[in-house]
Amino acid sequence: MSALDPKDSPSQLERAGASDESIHRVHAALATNSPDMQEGRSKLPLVLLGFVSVMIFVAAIYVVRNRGGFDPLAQDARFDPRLAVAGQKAAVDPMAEGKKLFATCSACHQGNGQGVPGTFPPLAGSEWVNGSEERVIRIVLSGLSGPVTVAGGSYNNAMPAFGPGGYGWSDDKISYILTYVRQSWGNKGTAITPEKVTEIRTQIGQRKPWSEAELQAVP
Amino acid sequence: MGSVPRTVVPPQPEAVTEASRREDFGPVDASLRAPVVLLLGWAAIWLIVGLGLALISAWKMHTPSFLGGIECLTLGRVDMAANNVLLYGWGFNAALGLGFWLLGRLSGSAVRPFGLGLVAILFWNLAVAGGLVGILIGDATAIPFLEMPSYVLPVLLVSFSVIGAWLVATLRDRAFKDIFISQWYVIGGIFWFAWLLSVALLMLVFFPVRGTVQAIISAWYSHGLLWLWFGAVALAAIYYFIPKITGRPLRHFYLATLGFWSYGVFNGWLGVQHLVGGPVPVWVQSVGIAASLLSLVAVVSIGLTVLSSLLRSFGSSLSSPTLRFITFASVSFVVSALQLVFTSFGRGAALTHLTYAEQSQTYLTFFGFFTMAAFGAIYYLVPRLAQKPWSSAGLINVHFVASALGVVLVFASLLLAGLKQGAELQQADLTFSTIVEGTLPYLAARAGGVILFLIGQIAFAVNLGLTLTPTLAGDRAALVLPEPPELEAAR
Amino acid sequence: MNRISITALGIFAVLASSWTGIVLSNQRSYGGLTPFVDKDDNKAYPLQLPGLAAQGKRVYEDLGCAVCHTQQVHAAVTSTDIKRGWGDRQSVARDYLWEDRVVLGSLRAGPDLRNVGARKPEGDRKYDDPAWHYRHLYDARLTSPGSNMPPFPFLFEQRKIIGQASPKALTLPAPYSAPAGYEIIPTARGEALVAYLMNLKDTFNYPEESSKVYVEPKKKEKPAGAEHSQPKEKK
Repeated sequence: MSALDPKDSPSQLERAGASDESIHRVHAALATNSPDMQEGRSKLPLVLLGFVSVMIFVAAIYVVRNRGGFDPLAQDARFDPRLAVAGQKAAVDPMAEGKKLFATCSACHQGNGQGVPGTFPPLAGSEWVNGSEERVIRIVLSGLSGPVTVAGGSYNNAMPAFGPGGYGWSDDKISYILTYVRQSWGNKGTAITPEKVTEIRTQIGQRKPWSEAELQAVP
Repeated sequence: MGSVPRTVVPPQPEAVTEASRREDFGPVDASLRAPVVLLLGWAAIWLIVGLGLALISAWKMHTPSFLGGIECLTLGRVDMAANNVLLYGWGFNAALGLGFWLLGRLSGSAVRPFGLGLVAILFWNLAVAGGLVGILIGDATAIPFLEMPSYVLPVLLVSFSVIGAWLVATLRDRAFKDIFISQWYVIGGIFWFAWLLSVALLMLVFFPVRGTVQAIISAWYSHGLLWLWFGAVALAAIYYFIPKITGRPLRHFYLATLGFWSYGVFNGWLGVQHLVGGPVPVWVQSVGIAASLLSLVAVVSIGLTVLSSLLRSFGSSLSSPTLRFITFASVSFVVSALQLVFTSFGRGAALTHLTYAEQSQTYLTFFGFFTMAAFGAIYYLVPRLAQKPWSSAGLINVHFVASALGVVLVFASLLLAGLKQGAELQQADLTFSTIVEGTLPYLAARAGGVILFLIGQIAFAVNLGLTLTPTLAGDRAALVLPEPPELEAAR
Repeated sequence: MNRISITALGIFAVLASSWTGIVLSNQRSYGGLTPFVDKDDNKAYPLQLPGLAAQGKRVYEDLGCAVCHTQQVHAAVTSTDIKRGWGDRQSVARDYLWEDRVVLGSLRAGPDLRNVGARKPEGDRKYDDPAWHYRHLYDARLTSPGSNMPPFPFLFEQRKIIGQASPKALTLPAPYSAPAGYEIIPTARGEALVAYLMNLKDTFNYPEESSKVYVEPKKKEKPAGAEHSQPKEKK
């Protein structure tokens, strides 16, 4: 016979405080608020109703203000497609972009822009880089080959074209790389805008690499 | 299920009242014995195994050289294994056992014997064992909270559906005409989890969707697993055992319906608040935050009822083991739900996102809320299944104190580690290794908490073994218990 | 709640709302996202992982690296990820297009790894050198004192040197170094994992995603002579 031994603690056999049937019956009545089972309903339902309404309101306002236009590609909560200008871009830092692009150029011109004496001209302190915008843009667009003097040294090599017919870089990219090169390693050139690159590219189209003489004819 | 004769008198008003007034409630408890004892036995085994793995993982976090060179015990695999064993081994067996008890008792009629259901329980546990081995040998899926290999996951879904159908059938076979809120929480949970798991299997495991839609589905699944399944079963237990033990009706019970629906709706929309700042559409992040704000409605409705009822009967809350655990679980529910809200936006989010603090919240939900509620229920129902009292009162006390302190220690240490981590990550000049060094003492404290919790569970497992063994050996004298009184109708 | 059919319908509707609203709607709206083809270099971004790196991703998953490492760079407004060198820009959905298992991670017990293949060396942490990664995996204490990352010696094997030492052999300080006549080289899994890590880089700026940024609404022109200063623009 396994009733609770007097030596045992009551926690070894929990006693039910109510039958299941009465739990059902009493709570069914409470849930429907029948008049003979009222329990403290005076203020609470109104307060709760108010609370629920406020929360719904707050949540709705939050979603509306931070929906980013419900655009699946938007990650800025304040993005509003109605205000977005077609084709507008996030602000790009030309120096940062140019630095990334420079990895290609460093193959020849070296990471510090010093070049390889006798083989590849330096970019640091180069009069071609720091000088006329017209010339340096042309060099990058169409390339440069044949003998050339840079910072007192002579070079005779072939720089590939990065514009049409060559690597096909966009005007933006060319403007970033040129801005970077013109303002790094002590160079004090001006920044190059994409519009300027476009203007010159439209002018010259696709052509064979420049020679030193042809470039010197350009102002 | 064939034509199994029902073992209860057809519902007539006098017969129902008569049968229900008898505490020993022979036919119902007898019908529950097979599934519940099987489930609780497995649950206890997996609890110890899972906590052992969790301890290894917690130890490695601050002492990486511990068991360092063994591939199948590397930190990542042990951590994934611990989570899966605790969730699908301990958690599901305990929740289903609890579900059987609640639905069986509240339906008032014996649960149909269902051999296929018992086989399904066995298959569920074989799948968990297979999953454990699979993760440790390197077949993990890397889906959070669903890392078991794809070859065991379908077994889980099929087994769960069979067991779930068995449980839902109690509604049809019921003797009481009313349906109590606890029954809806369990049945809702069964339906919700079956849907969650099906979607996860289809859209994540077998036909993975493209890109970060996976992250969204995974977040939906993890949150649903914890709150729409484990949380729902825990609330079912809390809503039932408070009036059952205290003998007084729940206060503000008219809020129960609002609580149930708001809980269900808003927890479905949660999970994605963890993805704020991540590579998912910003509207999804905002909706997650809005859902967390709205979940306050559920917290308030449920918390108000539960906490005020417990406070009113504070005396019995302290002396009854079931109510001690239920009280702890109820407080953990409120704390965890509020923590969820306050860490989903603004400064709270900035300090806690992607830190240990998020783990503390998951931990509190599963261990502080669900597991403690399950323990409370188990302390009530095991004597009625075993037809004898618990073997040792001392072990019950050890279990409660060690579990409660363990949960608090783990939760607090993870939360503090996370807040420190979050604050320091916001300072770009602090190197990452400095931040890591700062968390190590807290991680050591966390490991201490896991040890404490494990000690409690060993006490529990021993007590359970001692109590159930005579039952399993076939020695079952009838337990004599007096009639339970009527629930107080007035306040 | 005694009416079963109504309540059952409600239980269904409850999860149907979030399944439709979160799962289905996102799958419909961007589950079909395609790579972006850059006209300048005719490549489709995001780039796909080369073969060995793709195998390495599987190693990353099964070892549970996602337990401690995230792979999602957050924006500069809310986090210091970009300042820490974890990436040039916020991670966008399209970056994860080719991944059959997206491992965003949820804890930063270790740093974010989304761009670890593009991280610049910091002092003696040579993230761009595979040898550093091998040493770090062999035992993280070799390269990062005080780290709590687990050691992965099982991604390497010790074998007798036959003829010449292998070019893949690790140079490890005592007491980790191999005994005389032996060398420590990575296994296939180790090589695959490091190949994966070295290929983790999201450096392409998608034009569509970059354009979806906040634009200050145009302020009306203040009449000349207005005294009060403009409020600082919120970043």
